[in-house]
Amino acid sequence: MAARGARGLNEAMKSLSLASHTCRDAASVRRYSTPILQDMLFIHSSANLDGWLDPDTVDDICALNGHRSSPADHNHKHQLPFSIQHSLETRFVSFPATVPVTIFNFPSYEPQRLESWSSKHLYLPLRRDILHLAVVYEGDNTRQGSANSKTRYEVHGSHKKIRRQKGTGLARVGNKQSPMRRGGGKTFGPKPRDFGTKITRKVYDLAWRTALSYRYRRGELVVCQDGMELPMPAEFETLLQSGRLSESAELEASFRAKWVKQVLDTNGWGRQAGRSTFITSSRRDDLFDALGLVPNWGRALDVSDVDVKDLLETGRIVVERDALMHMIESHQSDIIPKIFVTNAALPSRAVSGEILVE
Amino acid sequence: MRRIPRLRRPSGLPSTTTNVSRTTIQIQCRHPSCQRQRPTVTTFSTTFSPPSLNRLYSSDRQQTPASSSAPAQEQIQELQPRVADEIISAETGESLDWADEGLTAAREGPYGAPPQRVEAARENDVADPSYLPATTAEGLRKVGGLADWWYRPDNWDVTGDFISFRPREKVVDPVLIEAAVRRAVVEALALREVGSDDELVAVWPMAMSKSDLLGLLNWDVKGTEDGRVTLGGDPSAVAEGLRWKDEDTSAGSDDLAETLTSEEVSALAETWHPSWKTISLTDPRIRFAVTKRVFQLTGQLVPDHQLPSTTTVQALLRVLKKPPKSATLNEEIQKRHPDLLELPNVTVAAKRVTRGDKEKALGRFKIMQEEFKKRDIPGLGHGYARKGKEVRRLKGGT
Repeated sequence: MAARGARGLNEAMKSLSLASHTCRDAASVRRYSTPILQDMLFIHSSANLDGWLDPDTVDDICALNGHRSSPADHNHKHQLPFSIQHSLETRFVSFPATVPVTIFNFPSYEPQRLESWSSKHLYLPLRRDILHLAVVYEGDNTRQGSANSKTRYEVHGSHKKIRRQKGTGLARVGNKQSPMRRGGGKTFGPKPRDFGTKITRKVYDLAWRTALSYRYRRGELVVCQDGMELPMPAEFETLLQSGRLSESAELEASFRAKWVKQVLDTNGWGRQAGRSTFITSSRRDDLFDALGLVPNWGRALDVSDVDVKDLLETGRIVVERDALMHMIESHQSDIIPKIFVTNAALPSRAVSGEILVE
Repeated sequence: MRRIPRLRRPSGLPSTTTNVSRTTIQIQCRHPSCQRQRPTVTTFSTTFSPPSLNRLYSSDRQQTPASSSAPAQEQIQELQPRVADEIISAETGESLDWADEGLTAAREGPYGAPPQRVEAARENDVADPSYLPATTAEGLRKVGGLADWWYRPDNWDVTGDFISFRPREKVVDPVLIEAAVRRAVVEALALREVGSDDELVAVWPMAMSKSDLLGLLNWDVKGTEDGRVTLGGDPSAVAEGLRWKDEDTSAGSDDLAETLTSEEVSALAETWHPSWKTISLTDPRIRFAVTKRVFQLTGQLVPDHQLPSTTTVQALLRVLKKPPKSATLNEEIQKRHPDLLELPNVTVAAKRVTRGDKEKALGRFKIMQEEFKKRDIPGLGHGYARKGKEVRRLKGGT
């Protein structure tokens, strides 16, 4: 019986391993088992290459070079034509340690500076699973969990027996608070509780930088210079000081609303472009007040109010450089070792913000 | 110390590259010279209209006669002088001029504030014994409120609009993009040749007369095998033109208002030596200057993650010329796969084809509505259930 069971289990496992591949998975398995990728994974056994390797590109290179992969030459990386190895090395092996980031002026959108940021900060591969974990974690911890209902022992009133047990011809009843009666207590009702869940800190920190990297790679991360604020035109300030707008507060507010709409629309950040999230290192009154008037154009957040979900919402993130640096520095526990290393030959920690062009 | 530019300087925070310190921005007069280099925009992606043959449903967007508002205007014009005569200041005896034209702004700068509030005299204070105050709004003229005050053109002049570094309209025509890239490359390399490297990251004026621009694009730019570039023109003149002038030269010239057309550029582009596309952009300073200038001229921004791979002009052009992704599948099919529209068994609709659309296409919808009416059933939707019930409840409705 046991032998039969074991045989059956083995067979089941075998069939599972075959059937668990959908067509798409099977294709990717085939692709990743081409000698080129074996070769590359050999070179970068420590690197996480999920986002770097595009199977189509590899196939293209194979096709270009007339190379046919077969299961037989999996472990013969030296049989690779040199051209493939060469093209792969130039394309993949030298993946960047840093990526360029343009620093813009705000709100004029003028490129002012080019900086190099670590690719461990802004060029991580997309991990949807980790982003999902982080967003669910945040959602759980945001739940108020204050729903409350009264049990029969908390409902107000006398606990006197409503009528005597026998002799009335009616059903026997206890007190008024019985869950069976109208106005009675709730048997298994909601009670205040904490819905919060936990997440590994390194995973959460990775999610932060993954979200920023995702935005960066899509060209939706606009980094602006420090001191982001929405200045109002000088003529408007003059009007305000002269007191000619003092009769109506809505007149001033509607001016601010029109101005911020115009700024966002001109820069391609507005409602037509899917709104924008503006993140600054502290509250900027003009910017925050103006954006509060036009919620369909964008939202402004202090960096302390930002979480991963905010980074994934709206059309783009317009972030102050200081705030971006703060977000990254406070979320890199997974890449900073806790031990002190004195060996200078070892790679140092990821550094961002070096100026390339100014 | 760099100069403080005067013309069409994008508003914003004080630039670190140009030592200007301001807290509030100066809206500068939108001089014709500021607008003259606004690039021509082609509209092949925006003015997209699907052929009506593919529509399976009827549309409500019929041509409506424009004369519907005419009677109302006549009434207002009729009423206006009569009412204006009645609104008379009790003290001065003069007619208030703002009453003739509604609320008008007393404008000094680009923005106009509403006039000071004027209170009508009380009944007891009016000297005229025949004066009878109105007790209802009937017959009184509506002056209007301040709700859309800043959206009236009299109160907000175009000179007060926000001016960005990015042009208002994005250039999407590949030919014009190529012209802008060539202009940017020549300008950047000219500055490098003259030796003013500091200017590479500064803001350059956009104004250039059409003849000058054509001359600049006509330079015989060549890239050589060893990476050197021959510009084939006078770089010092170009470098001089890229400096912000404190005084406004060549004001009011009509030539500046003209922009290049797609045909002119494509005719010109055939004469360009093909080696100009091999010019290297590996120098980060040159690449920054070129991409910044292209952004200023066309509104096309090279995403940061693509900067390392734009090592030549050819690579830059490939990034910039890539057409934007279609917003809808329908648009994509109409533009890129018109062959699918020819298939006999395929119909493409601009929006979802509903049950009602099918009935309308068959001409059965009107008959159904009549039958519904006979049976006292709502013709469209569910007559008993209103939309947004939850929203109404949240707002306090019952």
